[in-house]
Amino acid sequence: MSRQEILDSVNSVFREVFDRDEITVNEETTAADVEGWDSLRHITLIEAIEDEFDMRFKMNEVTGMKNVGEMLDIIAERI
Amino acid sequence: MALISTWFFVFLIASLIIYYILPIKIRYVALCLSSAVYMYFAGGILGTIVLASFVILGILFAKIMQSQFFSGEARSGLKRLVYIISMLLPVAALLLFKYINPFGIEAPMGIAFYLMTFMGFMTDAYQGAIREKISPVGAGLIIGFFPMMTSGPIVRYGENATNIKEGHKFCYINILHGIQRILWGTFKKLIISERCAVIVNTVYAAPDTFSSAFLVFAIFAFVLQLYTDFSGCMDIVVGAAEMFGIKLPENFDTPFFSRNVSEFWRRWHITLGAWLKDYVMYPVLHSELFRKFKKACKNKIGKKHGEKPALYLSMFISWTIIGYWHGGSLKYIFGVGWWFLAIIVLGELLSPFFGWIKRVLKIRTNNTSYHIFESLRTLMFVGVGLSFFRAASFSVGIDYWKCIFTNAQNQKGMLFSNDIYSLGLDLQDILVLIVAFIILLLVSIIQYKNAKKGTSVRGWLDQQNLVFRWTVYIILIFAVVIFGKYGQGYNAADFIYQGF
Repeated sequence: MSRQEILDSVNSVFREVFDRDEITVNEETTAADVEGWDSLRHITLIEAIEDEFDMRFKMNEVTGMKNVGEMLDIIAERI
Repeated sequence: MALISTWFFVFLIASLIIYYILPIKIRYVALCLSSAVYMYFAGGILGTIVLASFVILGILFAKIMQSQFFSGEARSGLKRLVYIISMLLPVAALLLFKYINPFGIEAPMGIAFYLMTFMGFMTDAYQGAIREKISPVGAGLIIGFFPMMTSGPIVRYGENATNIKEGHKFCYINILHGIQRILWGTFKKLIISERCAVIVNTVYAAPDTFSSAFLVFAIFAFVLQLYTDFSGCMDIVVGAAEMFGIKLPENFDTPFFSRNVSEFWRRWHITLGAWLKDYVMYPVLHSELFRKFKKACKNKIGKKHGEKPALYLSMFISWTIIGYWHGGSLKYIFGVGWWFLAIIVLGELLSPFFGWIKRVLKIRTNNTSYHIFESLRTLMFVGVGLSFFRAASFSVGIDYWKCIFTNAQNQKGMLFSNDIYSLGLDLQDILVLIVAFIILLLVSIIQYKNAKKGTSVRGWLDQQNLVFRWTVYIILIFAVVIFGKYGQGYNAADFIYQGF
């Protein structure tokens, strides 16, 4: 899977979790950029991504990732 | 040795002198020494022994878990065992000294704060969240650095307070900013908080003799008392650290501008909330057990609402811990925990209904007046919760609320009449409180507006001319000296959160 393909899949997970079709995230997107991406929604999002790619984040990654780019790094490393 | 006392300021100056005299490479020695001496004078021999033990244990456990020996998967079971021991020790110490306390001794100073830091540190070390090589000095200081012993903040190795371990060059602006923060904290504590305390203590001593209006007024006076007490304390802590060139994380971010209760708790006692989120709520929600629970719920009640039971359960656990942490009694578990959980959950369950009302009445929500409405609503919810925090016990809190609903006009207590003097303050005190409150409000508004732009009040002050700057400082100093409540009869030394 190329990085772009991962990003595309991540985007579709975002749209489903936030229930908004117009959301598009990129490598630099952070929680502050997406309305409603608070600490509760974060965990829902993490799990939806884990299900999508059939992988697991470590606990320190769940709390430690700074932007979508770091999320992609971890996904790319594990699939 | 309380934070607001001549002794503390003399001690701080002495520590600073030693710190800046030492060569930059070994300046940490001054911090370690000061922290030990401070704990000995403020927390006694028991406090010193307990702190020293956890500092040593923290360094040892962290180094062991990060060592090459445990780097692979081969010894993960053994590593897990080390981690479990490293977590059981602080939990046992907290239960033993603070919450169960079978020996009836006073809890060692600061344990409720530094043991939270300790447990977070152990978890980070175990999970490999700390990429850099753990330095013993850094590890020791995030646990035991003396300004944090009164009321935190709870810090995270490598995440905040990152410059605690290296020596810092002497820098005039650090000293100046530190003094500013200490002065501002003292202003909040001695001028506002201590006066509110008089009102609150008077009313809470005999709630059945006051009218409903005064009882409600006293609740908000307590909110103001607690805020200026705790945030004033944090100003002194952050300011003192700043004079050493050390940046500690903030615990408050203008919380009363929050639009709802969840936001309030993200801006009030920030480091405790973050700790619970990172080390309790996320791990619980992310655990296999909870994932299975969530899957089961989703199959039963559908995808949209299926996540909620797990979410609410994890929030229940977190809020119960927040409440319990404050002192273990029901008044805290309810007033700082369950009450807020109930408001958040109810708010979410009723949000379709509120949304419908807003649509029908065509209420615009994206303007200042609606923001003010939301902030006042949040303040009201916070007041209700904290009214239990202040009460002697949960049942006393209930009685207080019974008085609110039954004491009508017959008791003393018409606001805006001579009855106001029954609250324990004379006219001068009341005027000073009003003026100080207005100053606090104005500064808070500036802080709130500036935060959006990334600037600060002190940044603004730095840009003014010398004469203006020093006029502000001198007015503040004189205000604190003249209008501050201290000396005999006042226990300004004690901060509320110091007891936790």
